Amino acid sequence: MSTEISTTAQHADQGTGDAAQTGSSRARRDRKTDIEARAGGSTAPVRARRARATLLIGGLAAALVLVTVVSAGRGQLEISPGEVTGSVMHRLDSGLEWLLTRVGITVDLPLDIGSLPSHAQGENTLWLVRFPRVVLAILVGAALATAGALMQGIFGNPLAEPALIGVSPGAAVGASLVFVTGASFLGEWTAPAAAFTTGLFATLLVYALSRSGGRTEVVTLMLTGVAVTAVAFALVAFNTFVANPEAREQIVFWQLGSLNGARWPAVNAVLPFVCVGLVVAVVLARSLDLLSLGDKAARHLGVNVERLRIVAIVVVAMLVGSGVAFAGVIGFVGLVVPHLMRMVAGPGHRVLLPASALGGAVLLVGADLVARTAIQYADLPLGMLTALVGGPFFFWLLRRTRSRAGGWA
Amino acid sequence: MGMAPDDGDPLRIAFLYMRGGMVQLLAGPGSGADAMIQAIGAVDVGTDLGLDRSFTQVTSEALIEAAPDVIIMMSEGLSSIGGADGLEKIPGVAQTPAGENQRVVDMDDTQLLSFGPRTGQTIAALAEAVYAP
Repeated sequence: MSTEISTTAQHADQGTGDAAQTGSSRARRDRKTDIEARAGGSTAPVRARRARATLLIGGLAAALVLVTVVSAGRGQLEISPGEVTGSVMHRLDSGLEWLLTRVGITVDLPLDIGSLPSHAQGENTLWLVRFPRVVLAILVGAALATAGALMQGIFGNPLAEPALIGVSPGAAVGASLVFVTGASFLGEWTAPAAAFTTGLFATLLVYALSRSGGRTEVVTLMLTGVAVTAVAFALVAFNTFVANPEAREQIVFWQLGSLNGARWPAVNAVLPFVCVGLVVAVVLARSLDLLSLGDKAARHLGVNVERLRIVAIVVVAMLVGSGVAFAGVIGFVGLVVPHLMRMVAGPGHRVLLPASALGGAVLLVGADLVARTAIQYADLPLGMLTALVGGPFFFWLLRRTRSRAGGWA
Repeated sequence: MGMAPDDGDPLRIAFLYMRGGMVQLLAGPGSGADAMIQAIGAVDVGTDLGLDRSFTQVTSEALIEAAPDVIIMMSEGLSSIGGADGLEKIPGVAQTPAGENQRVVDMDDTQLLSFGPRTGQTIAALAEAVYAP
């Protein structure tokens, strides 16, 4: 939204620069073309933007495939890319043959090419250790970045980040509480379940507290988020204080974020949330575009703004909650990726949301590859890496926007 | 140590400090566990891998690469991940010889790494658990 506004402002500036009298009419004409362009006419800028969007989505999808293959081929256990491909093709071959046998066709498909991993544990390492981790990175990255794009859309604010409405701080409260009390009513699923529940609860609390008279003001919502986040951090701090050294270690490591220990059951648990979240996000895209005209304008155009906001917030909580439940706190993905995508694809949510999902997945698979291979045998904190790269990058983004278009605010 | 067999390669032992799913530290040089393991005539896999700190948060693949024959854990640590059954589910553990043969030794938290008058007893108990279970 913000980029669009600043572009329009720039047009107006150029107009007034030419001649003071014709300035305003020129600006009006520019704005008219802009509106026509947005209405979906076949003007050149629209075609260019569409081509750009297709290129972006296609490029990101290709990048995701590439980074996934590279990531799956790297690790402490040496398995060559050829062996990775061979192993995948072997499984694909036997899987398809099994499927065909089920429907009564017995054939020997020629897909079983390449050699299997030579290491005795190569096959197991690939399928039980490395692939679940890479797939979880894809899911969590997509979830965080989509959630960020949704948040920035519904708040019309470039600073909006999932952490701001209390999802991850709330999740940290639940997780730390489980570590302190040693609760294990759901076995190994206790901490993820508690994190997810408290994350969702904190978000709904923020929403309920900031709502008054059937409406939610954006600034109130964000400031309430700040307040709830502060209380959540206080609770985590208290839990850290009362915990014994072992539980304290768990709290600390959980907040650093990591995908080590990812298994297929975790992937299966996250998958439905992410899929539903992504689908709902794309369904909301049109309404979000209208909302970027402002609450009032959107309401006049038939958007149920309140319903849109609560649905979007629940989706954000679901996406982020399921992501952090297994991976711990991973910051900056939700903030940086949508901005980056908006720079390339423009502010339209129908492109922005899927592009963010793909971009987030690419980023997190790459970051996790660094986390598990940068230092031999050590598992670096993933949240640390994303913040280390994301912070300076975001700063650069701010400076760039400031010098080119006068900044966001 | 008299109990260690003279023939063949010495056993490879990992001391794994785990809490829940997120804390997975492998002992290395200077951890105290390396001294314990060497005292019973075995190889400390953390030191053997070339870890340079006493405890390192390791990846699952590091465990597979380390290929310990036996894993030593603290009793509380083992129970925090759901006992021996839970340990089998940790990625990387099941793919080690120790995981395949289910050779896990757990010792009381206060005993294992506190060097003092009872260290001799601890080493003897460890040797028995490892070589003559």
